[in-house]
Amino acid sequence: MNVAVTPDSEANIILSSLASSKLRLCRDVALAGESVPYRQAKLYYRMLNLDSLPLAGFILSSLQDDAISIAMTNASLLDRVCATVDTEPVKIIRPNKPDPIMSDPIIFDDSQPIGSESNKEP
Amino acid sequence: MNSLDYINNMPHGVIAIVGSGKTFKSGTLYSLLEYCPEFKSRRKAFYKFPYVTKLFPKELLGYSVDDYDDVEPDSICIIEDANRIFPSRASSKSVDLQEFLGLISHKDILIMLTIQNTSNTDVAFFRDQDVVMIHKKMNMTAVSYERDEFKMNCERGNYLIDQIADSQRVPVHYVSYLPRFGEVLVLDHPPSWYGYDQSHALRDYKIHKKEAAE
Repeated sequence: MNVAVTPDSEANIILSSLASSKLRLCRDVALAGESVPYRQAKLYYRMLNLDSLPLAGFILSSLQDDAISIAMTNASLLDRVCATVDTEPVKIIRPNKPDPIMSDPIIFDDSQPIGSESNKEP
Repeated sequence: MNSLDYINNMPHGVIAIVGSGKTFKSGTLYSLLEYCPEFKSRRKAFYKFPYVTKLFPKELLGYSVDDYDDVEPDSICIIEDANRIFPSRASSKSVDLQEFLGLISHKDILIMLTIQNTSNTDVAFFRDQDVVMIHKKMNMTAVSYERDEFKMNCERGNYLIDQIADSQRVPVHYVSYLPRFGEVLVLDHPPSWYGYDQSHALRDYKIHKKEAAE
């Protein structure tokens, strides 16, 4: 008898995806957190209370871009990328319903639930 | 042109609604028939589907077919749970499906499928024609068995459907993800006639064991 076993790596990906979908992490934590230069620079400017200066902002932004781009090329981190993607790039279409096919409600021979609230187990 | 306008104006092609069981795939399919004005005048061929006249209003213009040749030109061909009739690699045993799919652009036939997992479904549906994938919720284990081509979209669909159902304050069942358009479609008014009988239409369906054994 053959027994199918889920490989460890696959199980890890599923668990990881499941966990990351529950977490709402900021991009710094999810993606840039592994970058030592970015973390050190951020700590340095914050300690000296310089992080509001335009130059510090520019340097931190560049380091953050580097860190995120490196993280996104790492396949094992892609599930974490998903956790940081917001819904903004997706367009929501919620159309008004045109006139229904039926002008009058249908009368069925046998009794049954009718309409959108009827999609439940009896 | 948004996704709904595009679907409304599809003379032929394939619309595949993918999701785990009881995620409102059929409800979404029948909702589209009402949300798309161009669909109203087209006849609906229900492929190997029982009780069409009993389950659907006659204004839907539905008819039953058991053979590709019986699908009339300009029809919308509805195949519920396509993997029960067209399992994976079925087209390697018979060229009939590929032949039919090759002809739908000539006959202006639009195919609408509901599928629980593309890995169980004949890939011929996704290869030849204009295909629009509509993702519903899918459980995590099912996602891990999805075809690689669709797996990421299933994951993203799960995430987006939860998010947008929450922000729009609608049940997740009414929300669908269409990756090709980068859009999430909220169809929160299903047909008034849609209910338990339609969503469980295959309750008395008998499995063709002999065919499966062959």
